[in-house]
Amino acid sequence: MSEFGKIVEVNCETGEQIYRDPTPAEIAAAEAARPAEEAARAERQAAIAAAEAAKESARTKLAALGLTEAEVAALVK
Amino acid sequence: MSISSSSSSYAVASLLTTKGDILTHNGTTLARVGVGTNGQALTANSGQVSGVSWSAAPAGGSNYYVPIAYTTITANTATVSIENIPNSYKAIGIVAMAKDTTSGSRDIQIRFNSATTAYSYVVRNQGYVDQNSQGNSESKILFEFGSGQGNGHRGYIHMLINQYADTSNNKHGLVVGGGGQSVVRDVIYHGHYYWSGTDEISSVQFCMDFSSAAARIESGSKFYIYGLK
Repeated sequence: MSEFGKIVEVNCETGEQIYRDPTPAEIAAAEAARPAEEAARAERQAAIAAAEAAKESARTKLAALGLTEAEVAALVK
Repeated sequence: MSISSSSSSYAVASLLTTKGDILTHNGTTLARVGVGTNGQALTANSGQVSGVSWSAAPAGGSNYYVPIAYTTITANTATVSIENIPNSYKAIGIVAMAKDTTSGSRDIQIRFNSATTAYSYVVRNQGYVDQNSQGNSESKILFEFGSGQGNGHRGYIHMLINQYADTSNNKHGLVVGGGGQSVVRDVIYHGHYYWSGTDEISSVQFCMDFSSAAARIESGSKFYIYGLK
């Protein structure tokens, strides 16, 4: 059995649903796209992590300036 | 019901003589109205002795939503593809209520017409926790639940696709949704998406992760599409 899962096709015109295996062309296309997809995911997650780190740094610095916890939370969502 | 040969029921029976006859009142006594032609509708008409007449049925109106297709998948599935979307609606909406079977970082990802071209999908999104605006390098519309949550991510998407049948312009639309596994990792988002394709959108594909062969949409997940007449 392929490691690729089934594809469900829902036909809006007939209401028919078909569970089928991916075609060799679909598998090849997915395999070819995978490196770029994984790189894009890593880039997104790095950006998210950087943003979270910047927020945490900002919270720490604002607290050091004497802002209350509620004031910090109001500024850094 | 049997009609007795006595009393007023006999008079009723004698009035109704032909297939499709209906009984009315003309203000003084009972009156027969013969059936109209196929497809006609009975309409109030004070100009008629009986007060009603048969006339052409209205075309059904417009500016209301009708269901097009609905499915609850019955097996863990890599991709759900809604195909052969009729092009006769002003707009369509799609609702997905999906759950992930695999661990790791997963999303709900969406493509139109199975188009995999990079730089073709953009989302400008306002989200919470893990959500950021998606850049312009993507080969799908993507809403990320976050990473390291184990399996069981749940996602809800409601997309509105305006002018989906247009064959000369890019497509824009609205999407709202949410997802997550626990109250500490929930995400909500609402945004505007853009697809650079100019083809009519005749199919929509949903996946938890197009880049992963292991990603599965769990059995029981639901997908619903409706159209604006």
